[in-house]
Amino acid sequence: MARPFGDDRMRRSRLLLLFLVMTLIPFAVGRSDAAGQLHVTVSTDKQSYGPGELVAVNGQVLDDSLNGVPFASVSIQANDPSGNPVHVAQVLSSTDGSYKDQFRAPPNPTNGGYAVYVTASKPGYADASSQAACVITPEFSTSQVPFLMLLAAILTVLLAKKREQGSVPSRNSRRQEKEPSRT
Amino acid sequence: MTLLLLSISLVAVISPMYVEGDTGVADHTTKTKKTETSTTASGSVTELTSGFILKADPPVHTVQHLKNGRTASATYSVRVTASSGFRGKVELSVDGLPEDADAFFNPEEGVPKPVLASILKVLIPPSTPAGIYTLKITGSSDHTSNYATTTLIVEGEATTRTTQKQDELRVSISTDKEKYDRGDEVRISGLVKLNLGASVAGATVSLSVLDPAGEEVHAAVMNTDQAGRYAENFTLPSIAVEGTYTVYATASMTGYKDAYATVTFTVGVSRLPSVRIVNATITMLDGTPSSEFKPGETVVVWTAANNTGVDLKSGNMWIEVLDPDDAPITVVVIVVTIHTGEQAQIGVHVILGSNAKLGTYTVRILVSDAPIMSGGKFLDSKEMAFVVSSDASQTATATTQTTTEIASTSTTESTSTSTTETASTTTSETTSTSTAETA
Repeated sequence: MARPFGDDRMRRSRLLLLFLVMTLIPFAVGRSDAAGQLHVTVSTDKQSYGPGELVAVNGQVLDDSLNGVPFASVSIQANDPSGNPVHVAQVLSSTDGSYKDQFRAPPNPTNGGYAVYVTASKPGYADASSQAACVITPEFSTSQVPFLMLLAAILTVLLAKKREQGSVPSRNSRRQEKEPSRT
Repeated sequence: MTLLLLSISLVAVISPMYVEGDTGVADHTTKTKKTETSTTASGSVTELTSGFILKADPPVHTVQHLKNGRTASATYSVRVTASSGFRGKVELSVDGLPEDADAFFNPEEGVPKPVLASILKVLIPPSTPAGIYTLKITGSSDHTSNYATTTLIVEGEATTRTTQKQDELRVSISTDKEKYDRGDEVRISGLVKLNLGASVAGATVSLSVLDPAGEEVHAAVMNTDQAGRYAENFTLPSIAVEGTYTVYATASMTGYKDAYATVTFTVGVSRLPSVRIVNATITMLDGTPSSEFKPGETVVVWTAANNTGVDLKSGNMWIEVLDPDDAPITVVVIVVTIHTGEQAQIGVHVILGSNAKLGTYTVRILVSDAPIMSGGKFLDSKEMAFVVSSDASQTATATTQTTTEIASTSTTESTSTSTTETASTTTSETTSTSTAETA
């Protein structure tokens, strides 16, 4: 029995629609702005630094397969313990996905933990963020030691002179003054 | 029409430096026009058929080596004057520097309207051999390149180099426009230099252009010319994807580490902010460009950024100043909103401490869509330099006609400000004021 003409046309239309969908789907997917998710690592070369010391920031930008991603833009912000930025930089990852940056610790740093924040971005990938921490401690520099020793010697001599003049009571004299009150 | 003038000041009392920032807004007037120019030089002024002329003053500069290992400097005024309606961006470079010398321009590039006034600062360390050097100062635009020459005479006995200088490659990159339509021709150009100074001829430059989906739409490899420049043209397909494109440049040279640079442009409508720093200048308080300051003086860093993508809302403009030992002295953060097709201009005052270190300071300018600690990312960055010396009175200054714009008819809104200090553990005070006028 012959099928009605309308059924045939409908079937052809459905086939054409299916063909168009199958043909266009790969293009639609291929044009997605986020082809994959970036991953970024960050670390500092040491955990603790002194004033003025060089802080090296290293890391790597990876894709979902953990392959290095070259030419990813890496944005870096380092904050002091109060949350104030002390350094910012924009670097590009190299052919193996690694990146490097460095900054000098403040000469008179706020004592405490410094945070390093990074964001990696590249067209076609979703951004990735990460952070690391290090400690920067204020300390006496070796150049200050002779000065402090000299200052201590001067103060000792001045104190001894004043004691000789009687303006500063010695420990013994103070004890003698207190003793009558005990009895 | 609404005239919105925003002025934001911020003051941070820190030791040894003191920071104050102003911000205003300016309209977006970036336009380019292609011209053809012959490249011939005569004395200190170029001859041209159209485009622009370049003039360097003084024609001869004599510098004596300083004692106690200090670095001497020579300052030249460079003026680029446009003719025939030329409105392209001109990038400046210098060639013929003596051994160990460094040099930088302030500003390094700009659009002559009709004059672009810049300062070339040449730093001459004690190890630079005495002699007579011819400096070739080149101005390059999309299709035009002109140069002027000037003479540098170094006198006095050179000392042996105390530290091995690590020269590093640097590469710049730009496109002739910030926004294109499908089917347009895109011209990519840039310059390869050593550190702040001499241009590098014969360096290999690899270019890669990625569309918004990360697909490579163009790639090229070329060598820099005698002036250290490279250029590449390509045509966007008629079915080009709309959005923000990114161009990557890698510069390679035997004996040096590779250098990288990126720039973005938009095709049609972008779904992301596409911000580019288009102007950066260092001036004195009165707006006169200067590259040399004395301790205690105020350095004003001006920068302008255009947005060809969607509105940048509550983005950040960052100014970081590094001392001669590359220690960050201050980081200033300004929250700014830049609408599509508009420009934001900010000025940050940095008051040098009376005990400021002498030497070359680096100024790093960045724009981000949000703080990095909140997952934001930098959209563009630029570096500049200035010198702090004890005898800044020798500084020759160039007249300014085309530099800073503080107010405009733009509806760009600069909203709030914040500032931080890095240099000390002393207590810091931060105050901010803002005023807005409408007319």
